[in-house]
Amino acid sequence: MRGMSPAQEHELTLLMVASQQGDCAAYDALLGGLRGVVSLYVRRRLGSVPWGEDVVQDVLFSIHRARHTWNPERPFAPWFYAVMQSRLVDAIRAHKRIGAWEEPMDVVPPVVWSQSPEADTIAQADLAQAMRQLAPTQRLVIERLKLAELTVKQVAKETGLSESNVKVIAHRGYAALKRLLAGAGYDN
Amino acid sequence: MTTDEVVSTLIRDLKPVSPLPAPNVRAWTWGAIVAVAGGAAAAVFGLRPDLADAAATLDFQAHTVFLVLATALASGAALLLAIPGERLARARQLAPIAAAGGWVAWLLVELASAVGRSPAAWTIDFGWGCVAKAMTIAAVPSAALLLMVGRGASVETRRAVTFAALASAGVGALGVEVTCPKTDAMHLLIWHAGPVVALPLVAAVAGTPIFMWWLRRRQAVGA
Repeated sequence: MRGMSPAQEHELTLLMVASQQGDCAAYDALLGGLRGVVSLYVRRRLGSVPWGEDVVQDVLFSIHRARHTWNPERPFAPWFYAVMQSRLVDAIRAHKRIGAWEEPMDVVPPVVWSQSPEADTIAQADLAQAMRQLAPTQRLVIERLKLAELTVKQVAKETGLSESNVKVIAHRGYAALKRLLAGAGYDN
Repeated sequence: MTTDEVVSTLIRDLKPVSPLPAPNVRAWTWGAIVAVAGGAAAAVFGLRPDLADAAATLDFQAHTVFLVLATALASGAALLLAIPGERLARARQLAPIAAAGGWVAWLLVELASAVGRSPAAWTIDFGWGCVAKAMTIAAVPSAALLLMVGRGASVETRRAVTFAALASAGVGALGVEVTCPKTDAMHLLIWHAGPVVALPLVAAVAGTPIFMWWLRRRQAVGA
């Protein structure tokens, strides 16, 4: 299960300690090291699926968000592998779920309704605010699909993602947008 | 977005963080919150008039021991499960359930004994007041525990939420034990122990999506 040598784990532990203190150079090195381990792990578990790179990115985001939960007095590897394994399982479940429901049609973003130019301006500001809260990959895909009005194929080519991946990311992004806008008081 | 760009974004977003205190430190912190909430509940509701006499009985002592064990062990388990990579041995997972089960079993024995003395012991009274009181007493501790679990990054959310629910229900039950003067076994079984059994079951079935929704909302508003 472990793809990390003791020396590598020791090095990553030191980098994680420095990263928790806000050292960007250490964090750069840490993410560089972890990225290789995650890529290898994902490839071994999933083979060469088109959404493998998305999982790698998800794991890196999760490590970023959960970095305060690692206790420097505890070993780093079990924490890291638990986060990675959890994201991998979530990704597989989500992929199966989306695959079961996915329809061969383009994805539709939530609509922000308004009744006046003033309300329009407020709605646009709320939408922009919600967009800023999306994961960077989701934001990029939605911007390219809906603002630049590119096709799924064009976005896939531009970003290096597969077409199905672009659709999955757009689905997730629209769902997140819908949640955020619902929280801001929009019904649909 | 490429992984290189993701890495650059994360490095740009990097801020120093304080590691979470160890789970046992957090458990003691929660214990302090429970103590304060318990004190407030005693001040608001008043202790049962016969508390000194009741505390001298074996039944009351057994109830208290089982409930304190269930609550403490369940809260410890919930906080431990909120940390990725922390392993909870099977014995430690079963211990809070066994303690709560021990309390229910004790009450069943009390009921059987009471029914043996008088069939009237089967009578179910109206005890929703005790349920409301338990919920009031447990409100602040359960909110605090959920916040503490949410501050972690649980990879075993269902179990963490279920244990948090058991701990919260345990606090409520302890609260009504010292404020409600009723001693008939049927009342204790239905209105005091019922929520301790029901709440974790509800949490196990429906708690995870609600908790995850709440976490996502907190993240979305940058809490």
